[in-house]
Amino acid sequence: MDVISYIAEPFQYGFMLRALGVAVIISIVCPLVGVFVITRGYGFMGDAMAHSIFPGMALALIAGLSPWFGMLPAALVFAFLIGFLIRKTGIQADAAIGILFASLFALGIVLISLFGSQVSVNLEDILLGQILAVTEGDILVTLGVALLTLLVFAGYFKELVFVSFDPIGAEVAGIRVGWIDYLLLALISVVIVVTIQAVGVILVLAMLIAPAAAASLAANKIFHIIGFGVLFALIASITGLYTSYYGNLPSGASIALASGIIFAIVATLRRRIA
Amino acid sequence: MNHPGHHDPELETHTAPLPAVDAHRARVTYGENTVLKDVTFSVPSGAFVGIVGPNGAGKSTLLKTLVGIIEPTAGSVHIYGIDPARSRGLVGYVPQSEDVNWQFPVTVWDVVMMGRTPSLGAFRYESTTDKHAVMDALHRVGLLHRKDELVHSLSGGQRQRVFVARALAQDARVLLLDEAFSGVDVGSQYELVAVLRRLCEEGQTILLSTHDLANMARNMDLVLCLNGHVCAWGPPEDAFTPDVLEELYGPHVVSAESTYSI
Repeated sequence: MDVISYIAEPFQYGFMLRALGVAVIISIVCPLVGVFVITRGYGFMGDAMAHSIFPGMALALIAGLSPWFGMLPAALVFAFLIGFLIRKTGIQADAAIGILFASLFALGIVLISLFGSQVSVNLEDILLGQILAVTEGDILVTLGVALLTLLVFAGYFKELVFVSFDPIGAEVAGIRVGWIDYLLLALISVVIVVTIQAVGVILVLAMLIAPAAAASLAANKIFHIIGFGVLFALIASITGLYTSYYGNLPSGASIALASGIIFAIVATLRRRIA
Repeated sequence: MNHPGHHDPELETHTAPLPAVDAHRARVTYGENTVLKDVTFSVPSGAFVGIVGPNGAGKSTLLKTLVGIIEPTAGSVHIYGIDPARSRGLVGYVPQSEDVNWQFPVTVWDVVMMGRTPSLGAFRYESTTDKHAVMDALHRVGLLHRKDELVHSLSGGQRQRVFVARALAQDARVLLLDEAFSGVDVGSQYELVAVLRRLCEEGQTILLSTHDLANMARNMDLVLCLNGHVCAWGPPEDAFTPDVLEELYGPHVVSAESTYSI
């Protein structure tokens, strides 16, 4: 088999093409919010959001609906709740978020265990992602959510940067800091929702944090970091898809692992150069 | 005690009919806690003012009240006769170093451009006017040649100057610096003071809070000694009496008075 057919072969299948479509979209939005997640120390919170979305997703599936109907509202509710906890409890927010996150995740598992068999929901698919099973409808929703995210980002980018860098200065400049913080949390949460399809609840951080973190080692300025982040995320998700196809491995784990390896390579190279 | 600035003939000629900053019996309470009470002072345009007081004396609260993000519970504060909540833009604010997320990857240019945020148009398009304002501001603080560097990579004193430039780009006429010299080494303090002093000569009014009494005594036109209320207000040589220093910092400081020979 020559190289070209080796590269092209997986994508003669519709499911692989659809997977590629979703992979490309999430590779664009993840580093965009990822830069804010890593620089504001929101990693734990992102993980908590992903896990908290799980019961919403389970309820929608049990009700026989598309998981989107559960995930999107759950994501926005928990973005708001977590934002509230951070604002009200300061440093102890960690504990409050931890309790919320573990309880809701447990609730999701209980729901799936009780009712999952009746609606043939596979717990593993939810937890680890099933990008090879996305439908055309899923792609459309993903695309819609991604476009909306990009639009909001373009409109509020300066405010998001200002508030993230210097919240008091931003307040002085007349920016509604609380509102912008909630907006950022909402954006992070919807990006997490679309990413869950690809890498599942447990591995969301692999796409949300690793490419942006690798990029922040490779570049200094925020637009360059985002650019490199998108590049690394694309390499990770496409490499992951190939590995999954040819190695007959779970797709979510393949993508997450590729993402982690890219981070390790960038970190090592940087150390060599520096 | 309430007739500041008369020792300086320069100020006399520049004094506008309205004081740059005017507080009249201002009180700020958080719940049951009174942080500031009966704060009255008036700063003439172009003055360089230091605010001193122990931790928890209300220095930050006073600055935040002047900039309009805290409202006085009683009394009033005015910036050139205008309520601070409506005079935004007139007042530039340099936050305490610890309130800034230095991890965030912004360049010197980005930070100064933040001063233009309220005047930017749809989708925050930066016009030539905005770019000129940023360049001019960076030039005035002597950092134009470092505009493309990350703020993170600058020294404490340079970071402060970047924030001063942001206030200038915003066309502020009153500059407030919270803990102006914390994290600024002695050499850079000198440079920072020189920049601020020059801005005062150009007509800016500057109020900064600091713990550095020596610096204050040497460089400021006026000092406000604060400990929940105004302990003293006037030129440093009048304000820093042993009684006032003892009220602010306890008896051990008074014996150290000679070390900075007012």
